[in-house]
Amino acid sequence: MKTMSRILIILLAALTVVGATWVVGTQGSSDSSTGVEQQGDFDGDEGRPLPPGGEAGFDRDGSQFLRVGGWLGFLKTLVPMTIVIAVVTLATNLSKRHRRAQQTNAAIPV
Amino acid sequence: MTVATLTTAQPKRHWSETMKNFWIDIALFLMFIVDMNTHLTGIAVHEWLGIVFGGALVYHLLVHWQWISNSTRRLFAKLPAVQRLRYGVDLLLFAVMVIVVASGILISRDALPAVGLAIEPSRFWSGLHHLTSNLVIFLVGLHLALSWSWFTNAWSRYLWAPLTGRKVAENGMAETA
Repeated sequence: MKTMSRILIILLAALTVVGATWVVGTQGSSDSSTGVEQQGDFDGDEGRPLPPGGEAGFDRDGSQFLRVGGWLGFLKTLVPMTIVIAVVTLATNLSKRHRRAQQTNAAIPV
Repeated sequence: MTVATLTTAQPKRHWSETMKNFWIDIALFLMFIVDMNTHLTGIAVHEWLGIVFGGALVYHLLVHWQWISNSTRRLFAKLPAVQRLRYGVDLLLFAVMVIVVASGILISRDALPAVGLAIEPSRFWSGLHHLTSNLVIFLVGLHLALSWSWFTNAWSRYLWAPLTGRKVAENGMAETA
């Protein structure tokens, strides 16, 4: 019962986010604004949306599995994530060291 | 007699909460990395894996419910700055992740038609899917970075130590057995 209510809360929160986005989207399209609407990639013939990264060299059946290019696609995700993690952990460690040094200085009797 | 011998010889393996969380997080991370590489998976796998990822995300939130409710309660009272930052990042990550999954479902070309649903394609949702899927990479990086010490400790305790035969001290640092 507890788990069910928690799941409902999560789904309700998700629905609120999607609803708010929907409202923004429909308002934007009625105003014909130049927001995210312009960024979508569509197939020429069917007008259907494409997945992130477009369809250049993309195979519907995922036959890029055996190509090096398919595996290199991981770098597109892993490199920015590694940079973010490195920068944040470095900054956190430096600030911890700085704080510890300040505490040590304060503890030394004059 | 035989049964008694077997039960004493093979004690039931106990999985601690931290260990479970660690392996769920590893599975989520791998799912995320694979799903982001649409060129490798193909569109059908990308869509179905994205839907499974959405379900796994709900499970991830359920597992960390105690932290979420405690932080929410203490948000307007006494909460350390780092925890406050982590809460903000996690909240933003939740919203962006929901948009990624929902917009992915709404522009689906294989998954929705497979269950007999067809939604009119929309440039708005397609554009939003592109935008948020790029943003989510940085937010997941930030989410991981803010819990990095927990992650490295769990890594050395549950993966590195069993592999190398080293003991792990209470603080998570590996030491020679």
